[in-house]
Amino acid sequence: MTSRLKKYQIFLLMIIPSMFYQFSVPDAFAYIDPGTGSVIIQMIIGGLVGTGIAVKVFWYRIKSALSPSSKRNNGDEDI
Amino acid sequence: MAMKISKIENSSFRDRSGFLFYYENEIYRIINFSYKKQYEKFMNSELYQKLEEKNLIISHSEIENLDIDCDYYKIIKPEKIPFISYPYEWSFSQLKDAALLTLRIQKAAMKYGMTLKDGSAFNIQFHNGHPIFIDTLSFEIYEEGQIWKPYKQFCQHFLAPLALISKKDVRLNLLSKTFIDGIPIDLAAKLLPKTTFGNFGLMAHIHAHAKSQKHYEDKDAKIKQKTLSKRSFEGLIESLKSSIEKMTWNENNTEWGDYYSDTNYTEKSFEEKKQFISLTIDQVKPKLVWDMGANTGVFSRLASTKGINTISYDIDPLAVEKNYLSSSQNSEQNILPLILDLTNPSSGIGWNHDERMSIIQRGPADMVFALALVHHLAISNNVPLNKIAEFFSQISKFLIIEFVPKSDSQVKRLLLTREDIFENYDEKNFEIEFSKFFKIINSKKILDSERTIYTMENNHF
Repeated sequence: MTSRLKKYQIFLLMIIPSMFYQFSVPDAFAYIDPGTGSVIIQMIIGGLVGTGIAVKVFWYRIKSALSPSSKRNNGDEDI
Repeated sequence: MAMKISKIENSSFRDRSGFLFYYENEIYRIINFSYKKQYEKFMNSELYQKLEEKNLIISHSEIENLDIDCDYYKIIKPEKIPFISYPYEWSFSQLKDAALLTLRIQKAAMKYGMTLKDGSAFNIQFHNGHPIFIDTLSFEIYEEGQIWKPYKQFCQHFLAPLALISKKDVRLNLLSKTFIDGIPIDLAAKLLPKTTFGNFGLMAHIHAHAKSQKHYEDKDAKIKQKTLSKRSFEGLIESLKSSIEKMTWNENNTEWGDYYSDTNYTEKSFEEKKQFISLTIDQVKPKLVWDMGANTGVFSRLASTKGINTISYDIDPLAVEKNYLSSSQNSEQNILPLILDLTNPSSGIGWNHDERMSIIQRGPADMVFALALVHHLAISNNVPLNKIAEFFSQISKFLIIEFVPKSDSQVKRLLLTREDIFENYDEKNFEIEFSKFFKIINSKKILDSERTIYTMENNHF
């Protein structure tokens, strides 16, 4: 239980600083309310996962450059 | 002279891009001028064609010659779905498939410079055996930097109920009936076990999401000015997709037992029952069959394999899950398994009780099966026979119904733990009560059993 809570606290410590990072500003219109907290958290999760994927793709590129025989995976998916 | 729109579909009032209406029993969608730019991009970018080719979105045709008494940009006629079902009636895998379809469509839309503007589970229906997206007006033009507007709604409609079923209890999906715009994230966070803190997807999209909502509930965070890079946008969708793909429902953790093998028939009497039903289907030739209390759909398939649209209802989410997985594995087109508690069937809910239809509003079916069911309603739920007859008269044109008497071992079992207050529960009274609403066409004692099966025709439809 304690270790789980610690894990959660570490996660929050990681994400809270990025909550205050401001980006540029086009207006958003939606017929549903995206919700303030939901927008902030999606920016954080999107940022973390997006960066993670970029690092992974970069790593795969290095790997496939080093071993040309390995199967190329560009993450592209058919519709 | 311009025609008046006869009936507007009450589920389509939220989005101002257009609305659905009925005209001469057909369904049409009006597109307002405010959605012209988006619709043109949707059609001209080939996104619609690609989705339609893969049967991911309902197909539609543009209607030129309908003279309607209101101002509009376009009228389209979507392919008609024979039966509308709702997320609170779906099993785990149906909801999961619907969630993954929504994300697949989102990803496809991005390839054509578009994005979804809502993430409602009501945008999905089951048609020809698989989920299909039905809201043609859910797309908008993607602008670099925009947030994913459906995020909160998607989490409420899909992620929260899937997580609750997967990690806590299958019955929690019924919360989707109470919360028509999906299960609130903070409630899901409270209900989920603490072990889900260790799951990145649920930690992020449910627990941290709930904290963030709470943190910002009274704050002006200048939300309209927030932006999301395309990389983050795609990362968010990927993260949701991977969280949902990993989710499973371990049925062994549920209270539902080995009910399926527990039948009261010999092989011969079972076959005889099947033959009776099959023959009656051939005589009546129904287009829509409802099998109430279908279990895993053995009798439903007598109709669906004849090409008849068959709704296979059961109260047990595990039976419905098994039924759906089997239909999906075998690419069955005409069977739709759904969860339904007949003692409290889906009612009309939402605004004005009219956004989501009740079971009765979605009927009547041409033919209803009520097999090995009456004793559960009469004995377990204390419903008098006249009320059972009245209910079935509202949903069926033809009825195949089985009477299970007190001498049957299944009924004996139901009476084992309670007082027998059902003095009128016998075959004679059953026939008297049902004859008030139906004409009994034929009946047959089932071999090696105490049961009788009837075909009845409704006096009123």
